Amino acid sequence: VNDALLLTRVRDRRGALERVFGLIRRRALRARRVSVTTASDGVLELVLRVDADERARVRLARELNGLHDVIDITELGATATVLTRELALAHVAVVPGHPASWPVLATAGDTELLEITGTPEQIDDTLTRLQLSGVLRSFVRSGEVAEPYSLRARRAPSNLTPTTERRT
Amino acid sequence: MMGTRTRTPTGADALCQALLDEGVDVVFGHPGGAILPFYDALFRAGSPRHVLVRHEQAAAHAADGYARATGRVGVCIATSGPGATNLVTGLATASMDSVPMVAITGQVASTSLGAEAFQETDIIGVTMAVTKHGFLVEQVQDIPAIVAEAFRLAAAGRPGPVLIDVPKNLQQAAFAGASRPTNDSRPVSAPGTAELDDAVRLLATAQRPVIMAGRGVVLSRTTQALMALSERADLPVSTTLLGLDGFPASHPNAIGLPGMHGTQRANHAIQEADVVLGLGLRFDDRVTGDVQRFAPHAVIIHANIDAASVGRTVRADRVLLGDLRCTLPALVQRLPAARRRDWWARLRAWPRDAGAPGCTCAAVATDDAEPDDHAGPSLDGTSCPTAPNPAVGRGRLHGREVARALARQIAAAGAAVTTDVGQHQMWIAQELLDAAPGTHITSGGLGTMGFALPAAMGVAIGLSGRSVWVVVGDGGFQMTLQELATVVQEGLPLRIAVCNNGYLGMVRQWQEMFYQRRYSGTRLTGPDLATLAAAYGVPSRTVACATQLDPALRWAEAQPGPVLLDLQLEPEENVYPMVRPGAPIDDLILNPAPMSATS
Repeated sequence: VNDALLLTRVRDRRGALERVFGLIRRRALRARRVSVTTASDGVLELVLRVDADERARVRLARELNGLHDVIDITELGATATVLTRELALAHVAVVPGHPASWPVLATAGDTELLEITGTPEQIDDTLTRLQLSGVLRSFVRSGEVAEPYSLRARRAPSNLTPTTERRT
Repeated sequence: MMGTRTRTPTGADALCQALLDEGVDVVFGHPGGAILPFYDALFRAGSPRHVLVRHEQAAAHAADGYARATGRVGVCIATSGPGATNLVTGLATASMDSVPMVAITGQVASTSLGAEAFQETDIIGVTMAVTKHGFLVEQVQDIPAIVAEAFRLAAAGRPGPVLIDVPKNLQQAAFAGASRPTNDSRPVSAPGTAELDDAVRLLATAQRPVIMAGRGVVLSRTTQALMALSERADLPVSTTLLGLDGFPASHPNAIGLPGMHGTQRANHAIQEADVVLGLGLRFDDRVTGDVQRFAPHAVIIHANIDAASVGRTVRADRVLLGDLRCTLPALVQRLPAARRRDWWARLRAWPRDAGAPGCTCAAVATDDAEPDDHAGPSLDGTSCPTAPNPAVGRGRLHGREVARALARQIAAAGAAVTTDVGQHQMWIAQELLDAAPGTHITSGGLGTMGFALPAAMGVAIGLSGRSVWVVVGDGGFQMTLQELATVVQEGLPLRIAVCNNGYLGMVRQWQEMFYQRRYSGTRLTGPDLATLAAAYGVPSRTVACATQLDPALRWAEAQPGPVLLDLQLEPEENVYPMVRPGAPIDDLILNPAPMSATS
């Protein structure tokens, strides 16, 4: 089973997201990660990571494109370099003498809440390390946001490159 | 007409006016509490015409039949809750067969949504999988725009049903907006020049090309262009169940139905083809058989208006994405003329005729009837006097012969025909003679039993003045027979031919072939159709003998209608040829009786 990463822009209307997920369900596919953000006024941007082989990915993209509320679909990773970022909030035990390597958003007793950002793989690695070291109490992940690199570069030049992270 | 005197227009008035703005002349529906304001507006406006069905499923099928016959958007109406959910089978039928429809449902007041109010159902949620889109009206002023968008969406691209759910309080609310002018200018999409040239190159150099034509040809009304293409390059044409009325069966290049009950000529041609040009079809599993072994030697060129339908089942080696109204003329213009004598010599080795045994009426008439046989009643004495009731005994009418006779009658009268689902559907499909687009109407994708009679109501209204035959099995007929009352009330001139074999025939055939004749749950008894027809005020004849068939058909055609024929068929007959489920389409089970002469 392969991975499909789809950027789907959807009109922000009642039932629009339900139709997208209903279609994924009806095609017997599984969305593993989802994020929904507001792209602009009246438009939502979904990043869907779906278990789908090549054939299913093509079919899903075509059928999503046929939904009335869907504006367009970009198959991320198929033709363009993609920037993906995810946010995790992690409750960890404070270890005296070992300051956290991520921004601390809050403290409560002997725990602190960390803000961890990076690619989904980096988030995986970081959470695994925290777990193995025994300090991880709980966490929540946002799901990834993604954009083709060429679009990002055209819209807002920045000092980011596809391989350079702000924090690791 | 938006009310009289100083009465303030309401959302219901706006809804009614919006339908008129779309050119709607008839709606099929059933009233109820949550749609009452609309019905009141309809009463005051006096149009469009309303046809009161006896069950909402029939409203959906009638709107479907109207749309298929006319090419226009069909409209059905239901109230909230059970009224709306009764539409679901009809919407699913239309969705599978790409039928443009708008369903309007009443809904509980918007302030009660989600409160499990009386007759509340989330019908948009329920129908999400079987509609192109569902609109919930949230502001009364939005009604004209929503209706216009629903009609545009229903007919655009691959057509399909769209639902508009209108809360009752918004139907009652004052409407201060303006009606929205109709904009029927839909863009027509065309494939690219490079793709067309590539397809032409493949077709021009092919040795064994085959065209497979589907419902898209009927929807786009491109029969003439298809004939021109076929004749120019001498291309054989196989028409799917839903494309039968897209290409004349009598055309010398017609090779018949493909797939599970396809002709030998069509199925072998496809399997030996080096190029298959699929026009406006979706290569469903009943057409392809084993997908992995479908057209194994062919480059498949798939021409379709809907990108999502391409490559869904079979591989598409080349794609012509666009409207056949553009694609077909472009191909005709580009493709060089050709003659393919070798290929046609090969094709003629396979019968185009599905074949049938001769009439065995006389022989069977002497057979002993089973103990529980009883003579079928005949209101007018036209049934064979010695005939046992074939519903339980050995019959005298054979399905294929009945289909041939019906096809002759339908062609002679220039009639339209609706069929239900099962053996009779396949026999008619195999025997149908030349049918104009929109005159062969059947539930192909969903296979909805009970479709034929209510769909024919829409056909009869849509094709006013044309004779309409309904061919239906005794199983399917009993699913929606209450619509006889609608037919009589509306004075619809239907000729209803019930192929009565006392079984759910196609299921029984599968049980015979694949379940060692264990006829589980397929035996049907009753009712007495002649008495039933009389109860509804429908003249009828019972036909149990082949010699009575043609006179009965002529009698039916001569009546103003509606009329009903109880055609008592041999109970245990099979449809041939047949492809075993999962087998390639050239692995045909043939009629064990000798084949009749082939074309």
